[in-house]
Amino acid sequence: MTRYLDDFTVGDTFEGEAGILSEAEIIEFAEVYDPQVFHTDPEAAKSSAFGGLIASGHQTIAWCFGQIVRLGIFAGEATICGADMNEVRWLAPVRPDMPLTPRGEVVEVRRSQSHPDRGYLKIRFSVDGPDGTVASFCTNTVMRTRDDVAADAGDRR
Amino acid sequence: MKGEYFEDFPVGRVIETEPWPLEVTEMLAYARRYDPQPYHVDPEAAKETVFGGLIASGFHTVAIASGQFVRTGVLATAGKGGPGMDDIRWLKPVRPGDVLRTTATVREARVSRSKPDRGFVTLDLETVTDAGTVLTLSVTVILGLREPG
Repeated sequence: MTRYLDDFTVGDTFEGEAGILSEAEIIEFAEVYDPQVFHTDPEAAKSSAFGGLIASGHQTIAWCFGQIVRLGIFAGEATICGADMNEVRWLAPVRPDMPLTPRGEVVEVRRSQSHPDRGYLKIRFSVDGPDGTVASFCTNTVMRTRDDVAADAGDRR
Repeated sequence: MKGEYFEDFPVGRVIETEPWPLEVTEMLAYARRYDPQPYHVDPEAAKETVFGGLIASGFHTVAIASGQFVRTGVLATAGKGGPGMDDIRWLKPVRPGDVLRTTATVREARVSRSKPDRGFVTLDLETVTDAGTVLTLSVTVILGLREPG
């Protein structure tokens, strides 16, 4: 079922399926998008600032987002577009096979001033490592239709 | 390439990157793993969405832009990772076959107070296609100093 903007409330939380990033996945991603030795070369990484292989921060936030998407909360026709992303922070290294829990929390729900049929939904995504430490987070804003009436009105324009 | 250190990133320095042709196979492979929404993974379903066809995941274009910057090699000698990114704006959709061109400009550079052997460099990245600017963001990286202290 489609969740419209009005179906989200500040403070709503989501927890996606826990998982890991394997050494092979970390290297595969980094060879394309973040080729630095501490992401691509387990041996060379030992003498880097991180003392071993760590996942690209881009991979950790994208993995988290993907796991939340798989919950289905963004499914349906209500998403208009991603608007922006702020405050991406990589706080602690994510190492191969480290248990990770993807989370999301609604931090703002705001109706558009100029387009009353839609509004902005701001969600803080975070990757929690073992012991609940936050490994990385990002705050995204997406534009969504406000409710099903607004969505129909939008279709008729 | 000669090794680059914190001192080699004065404010205003512009760093050009290699163009990145984005093929549909790469878009689909990325999105199936990291952003499985219909307009990113299903060319047919994407036609029925507001985008009228397949578009790249925003996380994907951010990773590409950052990757283009990393591939210049300027971080290879003294790079020590970074705390994150700010102010990411997706301005226009990126579609299959688009060629992404990214430029990095140094906005700020300061030596770390707690660890004076390194500094923080913040760069503004702008990515354009034939449609104009599709993405802007700022990223902060940590670089070792050539001559600490």
